[in-house]
This record gives sequence, structure tokens and C-alpha cells, in this order.
Amino acid sequence: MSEPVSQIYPEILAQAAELRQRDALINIDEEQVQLLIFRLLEHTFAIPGAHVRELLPAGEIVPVPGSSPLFLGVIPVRGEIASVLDLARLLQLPPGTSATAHNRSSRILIVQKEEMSTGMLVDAVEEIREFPKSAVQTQQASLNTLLEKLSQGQLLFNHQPTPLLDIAKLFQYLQELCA
Amino acid sequence: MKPELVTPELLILLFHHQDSRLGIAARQVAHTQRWHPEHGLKNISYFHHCLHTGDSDPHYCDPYLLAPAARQHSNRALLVDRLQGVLALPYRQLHPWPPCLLPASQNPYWAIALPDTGAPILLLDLGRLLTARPPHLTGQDTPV
Repeated sequence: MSEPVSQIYPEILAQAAELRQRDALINIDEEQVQLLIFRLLEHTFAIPGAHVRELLPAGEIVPVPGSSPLFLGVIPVRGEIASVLDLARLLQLPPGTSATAHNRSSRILIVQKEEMSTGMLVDAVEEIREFPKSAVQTQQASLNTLLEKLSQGQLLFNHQPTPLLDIAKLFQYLQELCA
Repeated sequence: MKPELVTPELLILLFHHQDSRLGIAARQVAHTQRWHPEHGLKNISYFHHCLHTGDSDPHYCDPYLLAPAARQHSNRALLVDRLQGVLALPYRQLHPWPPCLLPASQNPYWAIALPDTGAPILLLDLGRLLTARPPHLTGQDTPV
């Protein structure tokens, strides 16, 4: 005959306390990093939340005749001007699959690193939350060469490999292209 | 009695290219003239060629010639589309050009205006626009 449920309560509660303590220890020991996960075409990407200054609904983008094809144009942001980057083109994702501003879920992320800032058109923002730093793996075997160059690692998000873009490297690459 | 505040304004000539509103400071333009085919194309630069837009056969709905006031850099006139006249932009509406949209050495834009109503206006330097021409377009441009 099995023991009464009331007698195993203490054991369950002790286990629960132990698990909580383990979680707490992990949280204390492990540095967290806030990431914004977004979707672009069939891919998911992450960027450090610290570099995201604003998150805007994708409205009308003013094209700039003669500008680099890497940019979709410019937008006014509360009395200032921001360029809007065609990230799909920059990352050399399959041709003819640029993100579009016509989707209801589309957003423009205004990213900033020191003096540099730009908007990036993405198809949807999936999540903004903290991840343990160990979730970001530096091994990036599945990435193409350019993506590997412009990212600082990758993590699994919804079982999908998700490159973590390095904003400093991205701006440096843009400056090289525009020199 | 409070002194009247004087807000400096930049006079621009406003024109269009596809969906973009563009402007050139009026003081850079000696005169304007509606273009007709009988005017020919000698010493004329098409706007889209100056900007290397890659559009080989654009349609200019209402072409206008802008003759530069200063001819030290070029004796050519600029052919633009849909000239809509003069607009006064308060200086506070002028913003510096965002980096990286164009290489600095080839950038004919110098600012963007955010008017109180309507889309932003991209401001061009007429001198830079007329001199930053690709080498293969040194002769007469193709017809409209």
C-alpha cells in the first residue's frame, strides 16, 4: 500500500525548495543579457537590447535617389532623421526576399552604438527578454561567412539557431562599404 | 513689448523624383525654364544620371531646366522633373545628412528638411550634383 499523500508533502516541498535554490544560484552566478529577437524572412536574429533605442511601427520610408542599395531610405523620428537599413540585403539573405514595410507586424528598430545609429526594417519582433550569457554560443558553424563576421555568436530560440548580431561590427562594416 | 523673433529661412526650389521630394537652394539657381524638345540636350545633365540611379529610361512628366548661378564648376544645366516652385524652409527644420547613405566623396545631398506638413525634403547641392558625373556620361545624355 502506498504511503498517504500527506506524508510525502514535506518531501515534495523540500525538493521544491531545493529547485528554487538551484534556480536562484544560477540566476545569481550567471550573467544575464537582454536580447531582442526579431524575424527577417525565414530567419530569426538577436541583437543586444542595450543597442535598441526605439522600436517603431514600419511606416512610410522616404527613398533617397542615388543612395546605397543597402538603405531603403529615411524616416522622421520625432523631429530627427534616421536612415533605414535593408538588413536582408546587407546580410546577403536570398535575393528577392527583402523585408517589406507593408506587413502589419513589420517594425523599424532604431539601433545605436555611440555616435552611429540607423533604423533596420524587420518583419516582426518576436521577443525582448533576458537570456543567460551561456545561452550564446560562439561556435557558428551554420552561418554564412558574412553573418559569421557580423555576429558575436548564436543562440537557440524556439529550437532555431539565432545569430546574435554585433552592432559595432555591423556599423564598422557599413562604414567600410560607404568609405 | 517683446521683440519680434526673426526666424531665418532657406528658399528652395522644390521638385520630385519618383516618390521623393527634393530641393535645391534657390540662391544656387540663376534661372529656371520649362524644357521642350526643341531646346535640345546640349550642356544638359539629367537629374537621374547625376545621381547614378541606374534608371536608364525614366519618364520626366514635366521637365524643367535649372541653370546654376555659379558656373565655376560646370556650365551645364540640370534637367529635373515636376518643379513645383519656391518653398521657404525655416532653419530649424533642417537636419544634417545621416551617415552612410552615400559615400561622402560622392554625396550631393547636404541636409534633410522636415517640414511641418508633408514628407521630408532631401536637399541637394547643385554644384556637387553637376560635377559628380560618371565618366561615361561626359557627352550628351540620352533623350527623355
